[in-house]
Amino acid sequence: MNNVIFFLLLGLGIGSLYSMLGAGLVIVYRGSGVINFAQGAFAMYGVFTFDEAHRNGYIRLPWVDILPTSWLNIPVTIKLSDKGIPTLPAFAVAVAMAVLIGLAVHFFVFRPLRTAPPLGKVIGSLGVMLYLQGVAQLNFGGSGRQPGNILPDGVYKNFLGLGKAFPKGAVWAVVVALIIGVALHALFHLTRFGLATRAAAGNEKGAVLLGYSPQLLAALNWVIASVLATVAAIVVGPITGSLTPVGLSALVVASLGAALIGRLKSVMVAVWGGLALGAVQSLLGFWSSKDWFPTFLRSGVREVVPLVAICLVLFIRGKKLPIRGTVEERRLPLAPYPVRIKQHLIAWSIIVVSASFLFEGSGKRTVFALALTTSLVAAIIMLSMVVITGYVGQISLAQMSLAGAAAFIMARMMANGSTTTSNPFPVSGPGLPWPIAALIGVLAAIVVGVIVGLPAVRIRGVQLAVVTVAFAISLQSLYFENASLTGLSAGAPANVRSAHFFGIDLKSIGDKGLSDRPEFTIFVLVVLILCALLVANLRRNGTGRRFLAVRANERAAAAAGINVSRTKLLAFAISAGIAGIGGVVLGFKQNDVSSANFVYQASLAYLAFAYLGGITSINGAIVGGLLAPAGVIAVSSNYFFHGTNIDRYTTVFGGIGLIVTAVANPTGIAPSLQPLFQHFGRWLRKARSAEWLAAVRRLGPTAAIGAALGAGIWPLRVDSYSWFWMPLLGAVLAVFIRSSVMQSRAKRARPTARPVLAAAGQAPSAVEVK
Amino acid sequence: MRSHSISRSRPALALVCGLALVAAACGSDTKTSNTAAPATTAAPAGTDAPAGTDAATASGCGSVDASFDKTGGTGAGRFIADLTCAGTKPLKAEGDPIKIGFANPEGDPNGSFPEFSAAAQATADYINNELGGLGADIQKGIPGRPIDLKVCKMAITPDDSQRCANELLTDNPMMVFSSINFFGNQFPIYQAAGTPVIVITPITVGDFTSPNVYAIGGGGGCLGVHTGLIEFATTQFTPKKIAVPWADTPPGVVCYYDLENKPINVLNGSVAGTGKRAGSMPDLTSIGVPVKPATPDVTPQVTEVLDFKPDVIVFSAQGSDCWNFVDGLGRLGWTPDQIPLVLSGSCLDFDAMKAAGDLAKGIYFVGAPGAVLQDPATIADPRDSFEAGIYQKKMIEYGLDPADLNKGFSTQGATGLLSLWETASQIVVGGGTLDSKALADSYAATTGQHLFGSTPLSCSTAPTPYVAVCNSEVAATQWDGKALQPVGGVFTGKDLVAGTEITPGP
Repeated sequence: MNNVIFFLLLGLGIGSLYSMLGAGLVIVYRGSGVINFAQGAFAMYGVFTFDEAHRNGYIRLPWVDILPTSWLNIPVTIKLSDKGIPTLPAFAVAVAMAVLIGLAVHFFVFRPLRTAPPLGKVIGSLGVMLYLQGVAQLNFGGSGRQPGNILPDGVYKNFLGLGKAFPKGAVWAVVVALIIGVALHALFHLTRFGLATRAAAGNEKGAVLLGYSPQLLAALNWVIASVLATVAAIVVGPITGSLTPVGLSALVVASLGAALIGRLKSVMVAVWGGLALGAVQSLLGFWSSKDWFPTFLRSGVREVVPLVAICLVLFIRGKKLPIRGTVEERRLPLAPYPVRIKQHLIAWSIIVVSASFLFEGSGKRTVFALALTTSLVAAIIMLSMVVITGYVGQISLAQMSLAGAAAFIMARMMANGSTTTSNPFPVSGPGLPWPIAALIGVLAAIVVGVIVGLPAVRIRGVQLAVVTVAFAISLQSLYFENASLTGLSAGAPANVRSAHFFGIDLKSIGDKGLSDRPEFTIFVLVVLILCALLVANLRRNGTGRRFLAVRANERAAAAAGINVSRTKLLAFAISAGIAGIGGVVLGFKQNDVSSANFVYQASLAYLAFAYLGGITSINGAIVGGLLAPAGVIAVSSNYFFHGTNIDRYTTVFGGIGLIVTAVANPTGIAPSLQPLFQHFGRWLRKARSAEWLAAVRRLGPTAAIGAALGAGIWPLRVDSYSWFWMPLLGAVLAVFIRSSVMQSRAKRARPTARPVLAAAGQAPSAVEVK
Repeated sequence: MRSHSISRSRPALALVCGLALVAAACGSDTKTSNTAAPATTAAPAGTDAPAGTDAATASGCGSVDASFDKTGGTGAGRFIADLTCAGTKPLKAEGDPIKIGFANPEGDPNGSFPEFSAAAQATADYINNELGGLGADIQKGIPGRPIDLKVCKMAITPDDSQRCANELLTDNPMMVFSSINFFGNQFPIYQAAGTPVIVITPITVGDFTSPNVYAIGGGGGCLGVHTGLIEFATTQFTPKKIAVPWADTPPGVVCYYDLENKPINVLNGSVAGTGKRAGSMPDLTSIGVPVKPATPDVTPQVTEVLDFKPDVIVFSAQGSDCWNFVDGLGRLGWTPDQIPLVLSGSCLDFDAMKAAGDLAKGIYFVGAPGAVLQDPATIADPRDSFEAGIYQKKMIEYGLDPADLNKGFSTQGATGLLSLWETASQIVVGGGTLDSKALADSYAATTGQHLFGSTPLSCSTAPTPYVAVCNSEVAATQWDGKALQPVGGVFTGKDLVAGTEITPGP
């Protein structure tokens, strides 16, 4: 019993970190309606700032110098001292940095997103997280930091008579967490600011009528949350050992558990919830090493605790959780009605099949063959996101996990006790042929998908997103990395035998080792076409219309006789099935699958790419697939811009890209490109020499200046570069900037002719739900 | 018309953003050498030839002192003589470049090790400009061909791991280096192409067991280090109770159960073994405590370890996890004087050790006995001293950032390329033709072959199933607060698992 009490108490140390981060999440949600996935990243940048100032005497500002030439520099570093500064000034510097970040995030990201749908806000916070991680890697280095402990060192030798040494730091961490919790509770209950924030959270319109500025309140809440994250990481962070840009960001999941225990409403309850989570995790960690503990639960039991907490709270109290009021909330972009499907399919098929043969054994260009199949597989998985998020409006951050469930089950069904070169440990299994194994895998994914979707019966929006991300982490720990369930020793990947179809070998790797077999690319293309046809027909039939009705307004849908719960679960099942098909094909592509394929970050990344491509359309999924990691556009970028060091900034630019897309172009690339292609198509058909000449005259000088800048500036910036591609990049960027400026001017000059809702094109139309 | 122009702006904006995000997810680059030879290529101070290599030969080079082979492995004397000769008479590579692939994680917030490829590139430039390139015969002044190092920077994802394998194979490399890869899914691609792979830092099961793969990293991953940890801890401290916290990663499970827990059971007689020490410590008991990487707070695990009241603690993990654990031990009042702590060489992080202060003073390390990071003047062994001098001088001369010089991955990058150079030279000097097969055969046949800055390579004696592990000899050192002091000589713990069945799990 002493051990149980001791380990419960021991977990309060890390629990205090969950508490403070969870309290910050509650504050942000109350202030601006955002579930801030970047809360851990705030903590990371703050504690790194503290450590850098304290240890080396530098302040690293939260941006990067993309032009570090000898004569043109963006200031990034402020030197305070040669040897580092004392703890207290360093602490003040870190707090000031937190204030800066909090304000910047509010004004540049979430103020513009204040009326965005929940998905837009999720994407915005992911963009902020990516940006801060990238900047931290460049400014502080990618390796871990071990900041000094500002809490008392030493131990209580026989703590509470339990007979074991207990670190003093953990006690102080709990005290600090409780003090902060009480202070914040008082702030939100006893001050005018706090009452106004709560009023705005309950009814933003009411707060406006009372004379409060919701945006000012939101800004202050962002600052409080950012400072809180920084203080938490500085005070409690050292007990987590070495801190890395990604590691601290990942703490947000457990912190979300704490925030949801506080029902996204009560800071004090969130603080207690965080402490409880830490305590239970610690006890389970202790128990899991005991002989009596079930073997299959030993892996990942600690990670499951936040999931259980989140699910329990959401399932039991789901409908009582506050949905933060807003003056106006935009909806997801329209889900376009699929037209000219046959033409689209023929065009895509011709392009893909031609490319697959073109790139086979084509020297250095062979890399595009693998990129093509990678993009096709990604497009299949993103189609599952089109169904669940684009059509039904449910945010699932577990799609890759569903794909993983199918892939792992299929691999196990194929296993027959033999070994492979990459796995010398035999894996037992029934040794089923690939079609049956794949079918069982997809069916398993559907079952898991329905289970994931059960909470959606009661909750929606960002809360559902939180449940799904917790589920993804749990599935990874409990299944993918659990040797007792997968039969895979030593993290060996699960072997996937290649498929055969009427005597045609559909293996992905050719005789020369390259993944360039056209047969496999065509196989994946056929699967993608079938999935796309399924989704297109879904959008056009009654089921799809019910999906859109649920997305538009659940109450209205219910009033119209639609069974909302059943509709949501059906969508989860279909979406999981498509994701499962994607996972199966991924297995065939790689010839094996491992847990690393299906980490929750992969789901986040894929959702981001699907959003960029256009989450509500089939073409969006295809464009998203092209954008996917190691996909066609990524490989093209590497191929054409090799020799540059642009890639150092890619994480930073990626974060900015997500934010800009969420703010400025929520429909994504594909739907936006459609009119562009149509416009150019018409122009090309009609254009005569005079029009071509006019276009050259209009854009030529700008392009020439851009090309000259590209030729002149880039050599100063990069190690080596392509004399062709860098000027071309300069020209394209210059034309883009000119175009943006011209359009911005035109937009300002044009009077608003239509009502706000109609202008935004967001009102659910008869076309959308017909 | 305006409405058209506005509609055009969004797609363009979205496309730019999309490209940016793509780049974020998958930064990669193929880089070729463009570093010119330094103006001065004379032998630097600190790289003077060890005694015994100063006799003039017909070509003006020092004679080969074969006595170095006894301590440094076969070819050590020749290696030292060659580098000494090149120091005074640099030999530039000639002919068509030989393409060598180098896959390395860079630019990913999850892990980025640019020093690995930077050191490899600096070494390749050194080889091309002074050591005559691949296949050179320095003693006869016959140049070989220059190395064209094709670096593929990869994000830490399974997709990018395979992308890099494909990208490198399109260059038809003679051999590929895999610096550190967390997935092991690249090997089937190289195997299908028949391209041999040198793994510099083995961590996945594929690194240990794949055919046509040669894991040259010092200590040989867990085969050498984990058995070495048990060998050292049980011989140095003759404990009755040994605590073994272990890295709870998929490979870590096998490394613990097969190469730590099993040797302990062999020693106490509960598992039959054929080694000399089998059953020699019947009172030995142990506790294994799993520690997940990047565990936010390791205090519970540390408490469990200390509750066992062990006579010695051994722990092997990646750098930051080691020091998290040490920090956790310190927070519960542990000091190295109370209970000896033996860490794996992968824990070596001089910044962390200095930051830990007295808490690190007295900790033992078992791993590759490389000394290239130490001050050459303080190294007693003449070969070690010479190689440390070469590393520290040449890396800086050839453009390695001084901030990267003392990083473990930098030394491993240099070791990998110099190993390739040494092997290629031996093939050509022996009358062979330099190609992929010859390189693979040469590595596969190594038995006590000299390896720059490390223990000798012995790929031919790798036990099943760890057939790719070429370097499993280790040595122990102790941190005295300023430097690592050697404790005994080179040893191996492989004998502890001799005659046993593989035990991949509980």
